[in-house]
Amino acid sequence: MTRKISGVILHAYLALVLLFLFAPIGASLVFSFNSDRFPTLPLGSFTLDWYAAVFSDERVLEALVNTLIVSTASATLATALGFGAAYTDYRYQFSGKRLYLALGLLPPTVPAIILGLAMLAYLSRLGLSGSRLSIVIAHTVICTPFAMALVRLRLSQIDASLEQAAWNLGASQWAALRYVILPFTASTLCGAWLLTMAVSFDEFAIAWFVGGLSETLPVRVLGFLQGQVSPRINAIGTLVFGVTTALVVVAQLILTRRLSLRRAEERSTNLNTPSSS
Amino acid sequence: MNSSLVQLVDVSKTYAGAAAVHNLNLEIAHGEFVAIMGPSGCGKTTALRMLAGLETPTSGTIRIDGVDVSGRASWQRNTPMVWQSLALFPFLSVAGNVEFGLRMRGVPKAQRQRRVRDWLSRLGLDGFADRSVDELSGGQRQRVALARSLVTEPPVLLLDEPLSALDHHLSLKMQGELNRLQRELGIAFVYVTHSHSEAFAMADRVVIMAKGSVEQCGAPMDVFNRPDSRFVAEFLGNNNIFRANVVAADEVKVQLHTENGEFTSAPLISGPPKVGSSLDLVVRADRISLTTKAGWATNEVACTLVSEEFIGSTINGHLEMAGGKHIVVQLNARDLEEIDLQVGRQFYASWHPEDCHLVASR
Repeated sequence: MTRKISGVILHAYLALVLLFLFAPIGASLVFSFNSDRFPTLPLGSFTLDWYAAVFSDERVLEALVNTLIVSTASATLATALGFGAAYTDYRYQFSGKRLYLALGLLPPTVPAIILGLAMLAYLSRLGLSGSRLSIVIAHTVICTPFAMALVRLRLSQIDASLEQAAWNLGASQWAALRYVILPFTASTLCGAWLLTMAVSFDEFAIAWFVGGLSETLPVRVLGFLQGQVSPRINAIGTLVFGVTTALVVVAQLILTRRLSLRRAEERSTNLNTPSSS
Repeated sequence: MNSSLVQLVDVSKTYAGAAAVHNLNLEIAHGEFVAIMGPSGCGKTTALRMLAGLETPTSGTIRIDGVDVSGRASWQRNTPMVWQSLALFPFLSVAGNVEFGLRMRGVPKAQRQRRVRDWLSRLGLDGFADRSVDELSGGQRQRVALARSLVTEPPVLLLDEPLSALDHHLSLKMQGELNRLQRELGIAFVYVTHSHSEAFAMADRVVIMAKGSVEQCGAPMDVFNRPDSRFVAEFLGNNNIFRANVVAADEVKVQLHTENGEFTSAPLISGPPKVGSSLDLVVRADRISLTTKAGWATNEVACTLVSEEFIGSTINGHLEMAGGKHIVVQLNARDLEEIDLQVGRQFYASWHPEDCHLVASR
């Protein structure tokens, strides 16, 4: 009985937390389809005008293209770098390895403003600030640790003799990386790519600092806010949220499908080879 | 002995100052089935991994077919290994696993497919080529691992406790298959195990390692019947060991004094030991008879039954002698018809002088 009550309370609490988290976004979603200019209740009629306005605004489209290019490029770079970093950790023992890992995982813990400012100062010295390339570089920095963490997790599940078995069967170190480690981590790499793309897609502060005239979508939203309050913001916000959520959900599906497959595989191994000796 | 397929000469491997393998010398002939056994940490797996090229010896030379391979990486030799975990590639099909070694060596596709098919059928895996390795039973996975290692037709196959994950019944079946396969192929097998029964059942020669080097090496029957050190006698189990002083010795027999009485034994292979020297007397548990009456055997000791354990076809009786030392006696069903094993009862354990032997004391 007490278990039942505590279960109810737990569910209610969970519902409240989720409501707290998602109500503002939900409101934004609702108002993006509302014909009234100001977000007030009762609602006016249903309309797609704001979306139409958004998609006919050249600056928005330009920002969208920027965002897509930046997030694709930085997700690709971050996944490659994160894989390299995680594999280095998996494969080699060296002094200062803990420091190496700590540094590798550090960027997301640095406040975005600080990182943005530092990036701006550094990239302008190199003559790279104010371009799409500078945003790609900055986003790669913050995205790499996520990819690295995911790949490390995956590599921790590998049977240590798998790579050695490949060498033993005539595969050079490069061939073993190509034919054993990469296939083994493939689904994780897809997941990491989508996840880092989502991180880059809705990152604002750093993009605002280093981007200069090349705006990404979140930066454009701020531009709108500074000008005038328009329900177009709700429309863009909903789009950004939709894309990000879709990326994260797909990434999550890929990553957990992988994990649950692995569990099934372990179960069947246990069934087939009852431990005896 | 240049005809040996594999030669390990004074091979040592040191990890952070500790020697895992120390001055190991071992020769393996073409087509020989050698089992290496020993307790955990004796260096048997390290030795095997050095043969496979997965560890580099700290010193010493490894030759395969007369060629020094000590400095070669694993992918530069043809010394495939069957792993304890099998280490099958989970993302590849059965055929993909078996094909791997050929693909890495750049064998053309048509030839690869033919050889994979041959090996799968040879190991009774027809029709499994496109299966995922996860769908297979333990025994089938074992055979895939074997096919994967043998497809490159190596002169020697290394096996690292490949049967330890299987249940007893399946393990016995696979032992038979491994033996048959080895005879058919005529290649050398180097088989690392901690299981006496696997080693004795399959190998032409067993090597017992301790502390990184060879402790004893010989035909299974010889090693089992005459362990030549206290270590091997204890490692093989079912041996009773008495610390003994030589009272008198000639070419035929040795008179011994022990805490548990006066015994007689055959001399050492090297001849009669020095009078007054201290040796260990090894008596196999299955060579000891139990009687309820005293006084008719050369080597006889009174003892009390403490416990018995039913092994299956045999029974191990644990008896206590005067002074508290225990002795293990292995009895079979026929013995039990004649004597009544009752805990607490007094018996006389006895054995023939030819059924015990002396080893140097350590």
